[in-house]
Amino acid sequence: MAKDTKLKAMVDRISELPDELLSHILSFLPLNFAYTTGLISKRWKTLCKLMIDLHFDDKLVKGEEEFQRFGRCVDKVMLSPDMNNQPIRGFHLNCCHPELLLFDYDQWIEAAKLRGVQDLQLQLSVFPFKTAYEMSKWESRTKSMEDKFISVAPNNIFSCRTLVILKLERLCVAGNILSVHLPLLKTLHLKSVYLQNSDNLKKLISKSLVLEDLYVMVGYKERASIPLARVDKGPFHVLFKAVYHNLQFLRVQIGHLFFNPYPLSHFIYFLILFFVL
Amino acid sequence: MAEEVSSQMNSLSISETNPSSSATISLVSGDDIVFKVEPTIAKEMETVQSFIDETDGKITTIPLPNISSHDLPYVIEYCEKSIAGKITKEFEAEFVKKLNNEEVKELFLAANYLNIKKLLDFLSQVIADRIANKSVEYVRRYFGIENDFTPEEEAKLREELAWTFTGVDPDDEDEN
Repeated sequence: MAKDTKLKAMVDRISELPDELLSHILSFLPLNFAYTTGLISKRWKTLCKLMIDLHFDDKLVKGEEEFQRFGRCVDKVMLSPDMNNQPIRGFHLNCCHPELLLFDYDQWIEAAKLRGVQDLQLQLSVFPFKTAYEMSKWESRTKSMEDKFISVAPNNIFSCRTLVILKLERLCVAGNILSVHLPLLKTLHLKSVYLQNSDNLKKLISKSLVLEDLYVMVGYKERASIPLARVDKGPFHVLFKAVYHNLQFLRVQIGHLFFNPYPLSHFIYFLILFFVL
Repeated sequence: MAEEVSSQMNSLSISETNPSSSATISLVSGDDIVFKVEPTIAKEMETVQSFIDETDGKITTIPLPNISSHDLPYVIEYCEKSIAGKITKEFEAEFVKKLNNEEVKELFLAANYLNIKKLLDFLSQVIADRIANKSVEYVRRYFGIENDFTPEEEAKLREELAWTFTGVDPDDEDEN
């Protein structure tokens, strides 16, 4: 009896929790399930719309059909009219299915921008393929290594006035970066990211004026135009000149070969790294 | 009665391990058990620390009416590990293994009340893990929430939210 009373009291305390705290719990759930909780009660129906950190991860998604559902879920959360007035803080997209290409992910990013995203993280590791068949299906559509990375539109990502954290991993920036507008950006991580050429990196970094934490590991699409011997100190001078007092953390790796799957090239790459650093 | 004695023993053992008694902070649980802790532990609890700061450190006995003597030792244990930088996956797994659903919820409330962000995030994850992919009915029972939809409203909403459904795991045995 006493236990019952105590439980009842606690249940009341749980339901007295402010919406922010309950939606905080929701942000730790798989995203689609967080939305399922809208069925719990009228109050919970509105809670999931208050979630400000949207983390999409397809690591538990198996097969093409399930990915389709995953993609539609992102579509719904990012693009449906009743969601797009809700401000968000974080948008993370962690994808390893090539079927991502069937979706308009640039539009997801655009929607995140419109909703005032501060923390944008994209990790689009379309590799590794599970079967040789999947690999060959992909091969036939693409020509060179960097084409196997998913491409994102540069002007979408590098021009966002609310962004504080930008982490990109395993993707390719399509074309030249025309304009950079990241007035609040403090953290920039480019990890296995393909850019058009080193000018793009210079432009990006020299215009990010309040950077505090920089991690650069990039390759260039125009690698043929840069001789190996000139895996130069050039970019480093630019980096150090461009990124001044604010910077607290800096890690840089710049090479042209590290996407190449052959071990020897890796070896050369690490030699270059050693030399440069 | 037995519970009270064990709690007191608990508080005794805690004060024994912290011999520098002059600087210790006394935390008084809702059921009037005193726990003496190091000031560094109090620092982890923002609510407690701001109370101390407000009184310029003159008051070192802090009543915590919302937290029971059953839950407070868990909070203190977590804070101690946190200060020592020993919050590992293994520790967290062990920590959570000891707790039933009710205790997790109680601690969540305590972490919120004391404003300990790390513990709050950790428990949010624990709660999320315990309700993830369970049926809606299970989650209602877990939080003790009444369904306030009419059957028609619920059916309509189920249709709207069809895109969110993946496989539902079988419900665990309810603990309460």
